[in-house]
Amino acid sequence: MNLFQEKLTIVANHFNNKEYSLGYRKFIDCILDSNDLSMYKACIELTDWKETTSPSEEEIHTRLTTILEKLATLNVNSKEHKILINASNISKNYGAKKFNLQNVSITVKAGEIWGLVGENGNGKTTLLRILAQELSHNNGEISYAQDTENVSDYERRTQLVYIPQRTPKWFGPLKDNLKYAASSYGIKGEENELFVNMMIIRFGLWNYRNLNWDELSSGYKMRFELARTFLRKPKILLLDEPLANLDVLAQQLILEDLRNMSLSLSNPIGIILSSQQLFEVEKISDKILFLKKGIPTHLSDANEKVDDTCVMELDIDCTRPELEAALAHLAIDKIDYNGGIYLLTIKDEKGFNKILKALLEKEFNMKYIRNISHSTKRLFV
Amino acid sequence: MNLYKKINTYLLENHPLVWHSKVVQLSLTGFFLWLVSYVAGYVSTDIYDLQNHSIIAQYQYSGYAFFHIISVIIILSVWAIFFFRNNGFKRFYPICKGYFTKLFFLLFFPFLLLIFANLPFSFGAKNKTTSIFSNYNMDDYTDKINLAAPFLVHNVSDYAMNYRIYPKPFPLENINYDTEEEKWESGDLFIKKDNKFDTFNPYILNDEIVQFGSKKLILYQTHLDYLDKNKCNEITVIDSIYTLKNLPQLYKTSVLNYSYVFFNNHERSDLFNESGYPNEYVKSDYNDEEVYVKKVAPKIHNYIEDNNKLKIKEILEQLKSICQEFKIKNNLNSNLLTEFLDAKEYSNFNSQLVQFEKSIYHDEVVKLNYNSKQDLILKLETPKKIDEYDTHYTHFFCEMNKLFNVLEANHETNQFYLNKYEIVIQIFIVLGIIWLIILFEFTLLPSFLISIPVTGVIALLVPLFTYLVFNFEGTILIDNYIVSAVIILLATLLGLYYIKFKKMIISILMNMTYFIAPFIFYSPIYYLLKIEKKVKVIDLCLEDGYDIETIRPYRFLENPFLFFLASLLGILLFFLLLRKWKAYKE
Repeated sequence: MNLFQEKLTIVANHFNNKEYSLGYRKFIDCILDSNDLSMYKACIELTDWKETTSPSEEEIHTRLTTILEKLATLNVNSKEHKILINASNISKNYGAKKFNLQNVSITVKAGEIWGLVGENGNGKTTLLRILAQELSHNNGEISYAQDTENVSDYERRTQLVYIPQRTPKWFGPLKDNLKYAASSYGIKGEENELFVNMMIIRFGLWNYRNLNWDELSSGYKMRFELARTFLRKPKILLLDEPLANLDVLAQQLILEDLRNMSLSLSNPIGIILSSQQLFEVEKISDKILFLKKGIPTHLSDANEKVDDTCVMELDIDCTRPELEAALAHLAIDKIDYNGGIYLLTIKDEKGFNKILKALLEKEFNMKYIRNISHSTKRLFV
Repeated sequence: MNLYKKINTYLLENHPLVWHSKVVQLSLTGFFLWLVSYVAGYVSTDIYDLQNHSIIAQYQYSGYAFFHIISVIIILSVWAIFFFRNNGFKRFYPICKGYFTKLFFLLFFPFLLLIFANLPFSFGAKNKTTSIFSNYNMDDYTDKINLAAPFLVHNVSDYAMNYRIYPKPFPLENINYDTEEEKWESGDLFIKKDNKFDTFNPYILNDEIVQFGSKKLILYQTHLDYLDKNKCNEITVIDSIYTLKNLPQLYKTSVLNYSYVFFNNHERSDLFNESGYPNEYVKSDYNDEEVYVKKVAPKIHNYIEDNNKLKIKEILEQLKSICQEFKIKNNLNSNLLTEFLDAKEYSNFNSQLVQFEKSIYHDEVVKLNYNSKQDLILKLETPKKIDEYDTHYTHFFCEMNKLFNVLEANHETNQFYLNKYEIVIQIFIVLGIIWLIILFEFTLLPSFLISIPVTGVIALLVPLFTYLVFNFEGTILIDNYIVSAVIILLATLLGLYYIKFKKMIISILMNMTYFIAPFIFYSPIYYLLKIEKKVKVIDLCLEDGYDIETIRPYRFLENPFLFFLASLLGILLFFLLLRKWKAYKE
């Protein structure tokens, strides 16, 4: 079973478990991976039918299964995940007394997501703009993938899509803008219509496709930006605070979409995104780079094994002496109190379970507890 | 609407540049404006317009010029709103290498339609004029008006020479039409007089030579000696101009003076067909040259010589009816005229016809003063309303200017009027607007605004510098402009390709380069063709006939057409730098 078949199986399982929303998005990813215009048409017809007639889940399931069976007959090969950006020791000086970005090294492969975290004004946007070729740097070297190496600066910029924190306003209907982007990128004729519709469906914009900028909420504006970005079939996507102004659900949805789209079989892309939503970003990122005053102080890998120190956040209805008494039998290294939250550190790989058990036994009213041993959150405190 | 949507979608999906530039919509609007202009030209033109001004001037007089300008401003403003909405270049969408050049030429056609909407208006006006004249036999009318003209009081100078056959206000024996100016210039016998005087009023030069200000028309009294070339001096000629006012020699003005049209060998091909010469032209010799002479207005001469009162009365009655047909005011009393002819010798009447006290206008009061039987003088006073005319004084009055304008209008319907200077100016306007539009599509407003004063400062400093260092004279603007252009261009290329500038600085330089884009093209030519050369300049006022003048190699830039071509090439070359500038890092 190849990767495409595996993806189809996952989609089928979602449908069997009646997880239609998630399953449908992954189903569309499979359709997009197929690069088959007849499949695009079938998907668009299905979506239109679904949105206009409100059919029962069984009816949807039946039609989805039919298309999935057709998809299974296609031969889809996955592309190689090669290195897209290799930046080493990048520095940017703004003057002696001002902020400086120092010695940042980063290597992004296709299908990989990098999260940039750090406090405000610590160089995240600067780094993104340097990588996007928008800003010059003083030292260090940046090399791009082979297919973007021997092209003009402008052509490279067409492949490095940078979405700033505040996206510019656009005019006219949403769909026209997407079509214009697609046709500018050489997607012409019938393919243009189908591909644009697929992106509209993929980012949940079907019922909003004829609306203008002023008629969309912030979340849908970001979805539009992403739809436009993916129409451009970018190699590298650089996102500056894409989750700002989005509600919790929208944040999760967009992050999940980014994860799935980056792992596209036909067009795997490398994504670098900056965000203050540490836990959400960490959930989808392969690597996290923490910047403090322009210096990369920490680089973590999702699969990386860190030391056995356990760090956790705790919000509980008890005084500090009561807490210390409850945990007295454990070798707690440090208890900090910051902003109504206790921060506990213990040199024990299973420390989190032990502390949780001790607190439950005391029957304290516990509001929140989280293990941040693998999160960069611990670097903020 | 569905068709419009289909076209729009097709362009959006397949031709993003065409869709983005909204060139189809703009062209359709341009065609619509042409249609409106044609209809407006047709509807707005009536016989009163033809009386008062040329059809060509109808565009201005009807007020359509104002409507046209306002319409174009509104159309382009609305178009610009849509055009600037979607800017793929600013968003780093891929653009083909000739993107700006294509855009430039794509916009050229619809802009041309919009700016040249005066043409269909003129066509409409011309067609309406043709339609009006189709009811009349204008050739016949022209003959009748020409026959009647000698008996009327009017301002002869306002009537184009093409139509005025008779009378001449001068005692001319022969008339030459300067149809082949170059040949006259180079001929031994003739000297081209300066033609820069008032184009409407006739002059007598040196009391001997007559000039009507029509563009190519110069009259000669062939019995007089020609001016000596070696004495040709423009200043002297100007100083010796006499107007007709109170000119004592005017007593010679008389319908009894026979007139001839004179043609020389040069004009033979224009006048005569291969089968022979028309009878009305008489072949004769003049100053050892073979010439052809036509006796003009023989009919009138005969009528007056024979004292044919009935015929003269008929001529005036015919004119009266023509005036009525064209709704032109007249007070023609044909009986009174014949009484005058009885009472006095007509030659006296006509020979003392005019004692000009001031210029005549068609709405001025004409007074006839009967001082004595032998002394009939027309005096012209300050303008008053026609209603106040004393009937005694207006027996021979007709608004001839209006009548002649009508004849002119009829003549113009056979011409396709295109003023090349207007066309060139309009094309420059089109290119200028497109140039600005593209400028605003890519430029950043702050850098654009800054570049204006910076360019101004450089324009001031460079002449100063070249004067101090190279002793260039400040009057040679082109030198300084080229030096400025080269400096700015080099700085821009240096910044784009070799030295890292701040993006704002390179943007300002780019904007400055944009201002001087045409000179990007000139500069290499200037250096390639730096060798100066000497040429012969023929000067009639010098004894040896020519002079040596130094011609600078870039003198050709003074030619507007070459300037235009070079500007265009400069702009197109400049477009090549835009992608590089856009991707320039901050």
